[in-house]
Amino acid sequence: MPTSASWIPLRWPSAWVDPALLGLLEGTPFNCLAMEWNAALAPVAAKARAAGFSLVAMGNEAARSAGAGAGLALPPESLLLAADSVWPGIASVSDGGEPSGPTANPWIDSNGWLLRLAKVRMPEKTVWLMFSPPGAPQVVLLESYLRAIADTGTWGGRWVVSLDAGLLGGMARGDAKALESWKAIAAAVGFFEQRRAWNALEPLGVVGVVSDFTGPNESAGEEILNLLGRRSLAYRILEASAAATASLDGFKALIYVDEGAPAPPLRRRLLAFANQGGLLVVGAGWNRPEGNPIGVDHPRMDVRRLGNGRLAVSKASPPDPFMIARDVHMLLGRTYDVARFFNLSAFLSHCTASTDRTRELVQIVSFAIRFPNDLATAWVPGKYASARLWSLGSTSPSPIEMVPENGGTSLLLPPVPVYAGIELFGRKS
Amino acid sequence: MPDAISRREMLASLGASGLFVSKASASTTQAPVAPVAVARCRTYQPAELVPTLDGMFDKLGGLGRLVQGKTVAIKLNFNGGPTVRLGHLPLGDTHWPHPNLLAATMHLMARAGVYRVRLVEGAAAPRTDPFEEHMLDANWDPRQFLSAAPRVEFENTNYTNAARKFTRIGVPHGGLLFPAYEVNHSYADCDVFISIAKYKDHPTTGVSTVMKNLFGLTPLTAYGNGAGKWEDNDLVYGNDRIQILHRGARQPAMGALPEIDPSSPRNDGYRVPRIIADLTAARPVHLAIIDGVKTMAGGQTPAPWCTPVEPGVLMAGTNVVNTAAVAVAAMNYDPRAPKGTVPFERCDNKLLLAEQLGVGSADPSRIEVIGASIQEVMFDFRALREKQRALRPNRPYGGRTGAQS
Repeated sequence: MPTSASWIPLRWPSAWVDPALLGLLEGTPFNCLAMEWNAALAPVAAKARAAGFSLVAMGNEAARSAGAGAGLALPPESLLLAADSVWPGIASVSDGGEPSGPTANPWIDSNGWLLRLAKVRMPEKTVWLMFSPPGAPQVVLLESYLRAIADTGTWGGRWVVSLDAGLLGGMARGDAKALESWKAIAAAVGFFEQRRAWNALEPLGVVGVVSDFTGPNESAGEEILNLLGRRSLAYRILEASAAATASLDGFKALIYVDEGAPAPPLRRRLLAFANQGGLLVVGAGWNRPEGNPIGVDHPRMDVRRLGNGRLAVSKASPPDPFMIARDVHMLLGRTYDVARFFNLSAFLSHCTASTDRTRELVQIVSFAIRFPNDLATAWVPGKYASARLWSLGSTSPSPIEMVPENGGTSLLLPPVPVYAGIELFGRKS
Repeated sequence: MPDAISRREMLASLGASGLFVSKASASTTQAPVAPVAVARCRTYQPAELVPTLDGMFDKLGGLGRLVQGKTVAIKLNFNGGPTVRLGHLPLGDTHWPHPNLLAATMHLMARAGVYRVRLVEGAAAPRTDPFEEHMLDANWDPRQFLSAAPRVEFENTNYTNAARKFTRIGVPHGGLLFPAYEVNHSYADCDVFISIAKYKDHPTTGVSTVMKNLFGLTPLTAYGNGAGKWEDNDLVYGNDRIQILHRGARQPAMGALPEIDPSSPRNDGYRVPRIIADLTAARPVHLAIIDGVKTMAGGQTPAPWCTPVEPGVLMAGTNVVNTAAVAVAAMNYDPRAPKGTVPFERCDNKLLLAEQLGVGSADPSRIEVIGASIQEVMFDFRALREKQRALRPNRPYGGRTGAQS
């Protein structure tokens, strides 16, 4: 039996009481069935157990209790079940349109930030995302499933794969198209499972977000992570409790907009960072801001010179996370971008590297519906010996043509309708 | 064909730029003419660009006469978003002027004694975003320009910025669509105004060159789709001018004067060419530079049906209409073609409109071409256009939406 860290879960439909349906799992990576228990599932559970599947009780407390009584495991402490995770995609509104932000770009619902935060706060846990596909009358396309898997796998999580009624019905009937979709879904899950080692790579980024991410700071802190990601502004997370002593090497900007004054050691540490040349962005509650105004006419920030760096104090209380993400990026400058992307209109990226930078990884999750067939380009500031591309579900990588551009390297990609994983080797500069 | 022009000719050409036009002319024979320098240039390597440009400017009388001790504003031609490419090609190879061309021009101006160079464009970016960041978003390096000339400044002309208000530039003789336009102060606070642009097709006005570039003088905060809705903040949304300028669905904001005749056609093929002609008269161009080393056919901004092309040519002139006319002729189009014919199938001919305003002649037979001849540098955009039209018979030529600004 695999341990819980190795469980690859599928939410088994309560209505699937025919043990023969377990045959659909043959050749897939799933080794764990998450069941909302009812007695009619007993034959399925017995056959699954005999086939080596792990069985986990899900649902409300009564269902979990009943499942445990039937021999199913309760979710162990080593799992973090994220019940509030979202179905990834371009957010839709009741009239079927797409809400957009002040940038006129569509909003993207993603769990990337949540997985990043969980990895920092509870690195010992495996995160299970519990979201479900939208219900009828919405039709769930295969691409939507693949995005959901990519949006989970890119950031190292596991989705308890949950299928919509239409697909389940088709699979049960043996419908060829449904089975083809199921095969692609399983292959996508398998793709990320085979590359769990990628999760050991460290996030790149020169922007640090310092917060306790709790209480009054939970919402704003999390939304800043979400919106930094939306701008493809690579960031790293620093828990406030550890930031006073953590290494700040490699950071160019730090964001601290938690309510109230920071503890004196943290304040001293943040100020030292700015004095030494960094950009420190703080909330309006930062008492008696240090430094001198530099005369920038900024509608949302009081920007001050502090030693060799800058202190930017938000004028808004509470700060607007959208504006914080935007203003940090512009105050810092795109010079420090770890990657730039072209012909990708609605996407998220995740850039990671080995500690010695001999191996880097750029992952792209595309949510674009319009013009998904445009050739894409990713630009990275370094030069590399080689690069290769992994597409979702592929078993072997493709070489990537690299072209020198603007002191770095443009990576010429095919269209990215859902996902691209770019491995870079042998950084030369 | 002379290799150089005299000082007298140079002064005459400055007059032809529109500064000294006393009244509008409806006559082709009265519209000013000035030489247009044309040269082969196959690459954007500085080793080829700098001497080629230098030779062209010499043939026009020399840059020193134009820029020495002066503040120069260079209107870039940043249409479309900075992260949209035609295939994998950098923007400078398709629809933005190439950064090396810009840097080479600035380098030569520095050598000629320019006092200040201001790079200006209406970038669809918030006011608080430095304009340099817009360049970085396109993967340009602004430091390339900072080191090319003294006192280099960047200005996003969608905003009033330090001037706190827009400057009103009136159209001589009253204008065709608007009597005057509100523009960023940089378009007025300069001694020399330069328009630099690719030559390419355009869905609304047939072709896009150094004249169409001037459409971007109109700030989005006054003429954009969201005009009047964002004056209290700095977030631009709706990064085109479809509602106000293309369609005339409403009048501009920020105190800009309304159009002359609200009952005139609400058709962009009528309106946009007139606005461009108005602007060529209201904001005279002293030097127009056309980047035809690499460009694209089929549209103004990248779309699947656009084709990257390498005509390998540069053009420059001191009269913007003359320069545009030579460029259009070198695209194998007739710059005097009437509405309804290639390349002005669905619009009025903006070159003729500007000619009628007295800005410059659109008649290549009257314009002295110095260097390579039009025939020598001819690149057949027309053939590509006809090929594309056969593939897409029911779509306007050149745009993803059919209406871009």
